[in-house]
Amino acid sequence: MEISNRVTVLRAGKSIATLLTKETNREEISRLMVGRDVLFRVDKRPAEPGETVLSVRGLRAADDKGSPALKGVSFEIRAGEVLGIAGVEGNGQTELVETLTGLRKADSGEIRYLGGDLIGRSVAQIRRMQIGHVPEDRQTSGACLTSTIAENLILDHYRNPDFRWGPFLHKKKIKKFAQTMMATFDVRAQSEETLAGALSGGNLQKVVVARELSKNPKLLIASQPTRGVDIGAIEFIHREVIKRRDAGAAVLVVSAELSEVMALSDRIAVFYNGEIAAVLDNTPDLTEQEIGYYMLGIKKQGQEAAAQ
Amino acid sequence: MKTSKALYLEVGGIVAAVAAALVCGFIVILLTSSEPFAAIGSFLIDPLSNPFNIGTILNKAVPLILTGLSMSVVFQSGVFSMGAEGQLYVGAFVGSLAAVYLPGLNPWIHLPLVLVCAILGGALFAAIPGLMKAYLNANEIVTTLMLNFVAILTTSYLVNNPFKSPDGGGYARMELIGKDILLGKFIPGMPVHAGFLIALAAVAAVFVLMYKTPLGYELRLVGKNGQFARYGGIATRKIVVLTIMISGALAGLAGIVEILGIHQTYKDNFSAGLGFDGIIIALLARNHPIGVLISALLYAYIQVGAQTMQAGSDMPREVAVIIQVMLVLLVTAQAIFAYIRQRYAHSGTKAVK
Repeated sequence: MEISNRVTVLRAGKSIATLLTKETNREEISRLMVGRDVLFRVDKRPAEPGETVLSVRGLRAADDKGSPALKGVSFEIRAGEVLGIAGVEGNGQTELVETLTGLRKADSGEIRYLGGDLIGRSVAQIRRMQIGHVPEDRQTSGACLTSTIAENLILDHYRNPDFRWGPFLHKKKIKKFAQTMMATFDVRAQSEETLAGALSGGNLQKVVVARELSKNPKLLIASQPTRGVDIGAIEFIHREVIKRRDAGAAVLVVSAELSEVMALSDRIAVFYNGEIAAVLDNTPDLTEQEIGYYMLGIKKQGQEAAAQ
Repeated sequence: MKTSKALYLEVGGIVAAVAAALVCGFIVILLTSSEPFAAIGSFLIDPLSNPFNIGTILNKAVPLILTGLSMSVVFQSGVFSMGAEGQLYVGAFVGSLAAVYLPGLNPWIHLPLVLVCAILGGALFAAIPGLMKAYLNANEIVTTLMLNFVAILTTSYLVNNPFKSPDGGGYARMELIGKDILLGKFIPGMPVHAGFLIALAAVAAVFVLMYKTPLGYELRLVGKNGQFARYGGIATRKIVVLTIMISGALAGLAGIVEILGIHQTYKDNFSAGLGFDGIIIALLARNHPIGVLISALLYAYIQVGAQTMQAGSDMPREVAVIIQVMLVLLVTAQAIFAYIRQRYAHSGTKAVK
């Protein structure tokens, strides 16, 4: 604002608008940056939050280059509510999810899940604790494209005695499980033996969501759950997330799409520069513009409010 | 794409590569031989014309099957070990020590003990580059190639000095192994030794391990998509060490079976590249155990065909080398295509079924 004559706003790889700096203001630019995508209506009852499932206190972690990415993040999620994380990408959301799921080491802070401590636990241990994780990149982390759908679905179950026959994998039970999951989650493919890489983005994401929900999670962490997915699949996945909330799970949704965060969340935590700039109740009078101010660091809630 | 369709495409491609390599060999024969059709005939037909030649093919295939399996296991886990040759020598040496220096045991106990010693020798020697890769991030191609020299030269020193038999004449070899634990012939009139049964059992065991057990699921997943395996909580470092140890065990088994079936004692430099042939076999087989069996038989057939051609025409057996080299070139080129397909398959448009 101080040094430019003109300002071009880029969003999701597209040039959205070019404005003369002297004719515009911070509010207009932030509105353009946040965008006004079609808001998907998700039918949901008001949340009925229960006991605290996940409690994060003063969490600090570094990014891959070693510079601090999380600078003392604190929040809580209770059973039966969806906490959305809004924020411009690269403000620590990825690192938060990786730290919660054991993929990244925390430098300090506390992560308590149903009374137990998650810090220092391995990915395998955390996955066994009924914590579902839909990762942000389904093609690299979320699925193995050169494996079959069935092999992708049994990631949490192949060591389960129910799917074993002595020391061997029980092929029939795996097949039946995969077919049931594909029917329940509307995965459209020729068979469970189809390679995951042959699926469309939406169908592949439904495989990932099916797998993560198949362990009946008490905590579901969904990162960019509908990125690059067709509208039908978006609606389906949103419904499943809300269904899981109504069944009493705590849900953490991280999305670069503000409209998605606003459609799904009961409360919204806004990330800016590795900190939570605000925690807002997702009431009907909350506007995208209001969230946008926090996303861009124009406004910041008081520290005591952020830790509520 | 369904997996079965992918399989047909893959097999079709390999068959085409093999046919093209054979055609290249035949062109060389046509250009250089004064009686090309007799040469090609003795190359293709003579290996199958009598039980002796068939038995020779099977005997030659035995170590190739085992080293091919050894390489296919590590390749499937995405570990590019080149160490089968060294592991084969270590396994054969340790197994031979148990065979020569523990006489008087019941052969039903002694033979399994010898095999187990060879398997453990190969596996433990392979653990060194495995641990170095998993915990020190050392490039396994470099470490395994270097350790091959360590293994080959150390065993060579030992069999030339402390363990050299005085009855060996000019040859560096150990004392002869007792007849009761050698792998004898089991089909009358055919020279094939019982090691072939061990190789078949190994094919079945590797197939079950890779495709029917949780460990095989983990091994393949780590090879196909390490990031997904980590996300799924699979201990990828342990898997890397384990896969290279399984590979070493199979290489060690290849070595001792070759000793017990063919050489009857540990001889210096007995392998001459069986471990490296295993790389070609595994590439040709696309790392599938059944494919390894077929590829090893084909490879042995080409080698025996070259010998019969040398005996039955004016062509030298080196033509087989031309065919083998063409095979390597064409098959690796195919592997490159497959890699490119896999790499870029999901960046293009995808069919919604």
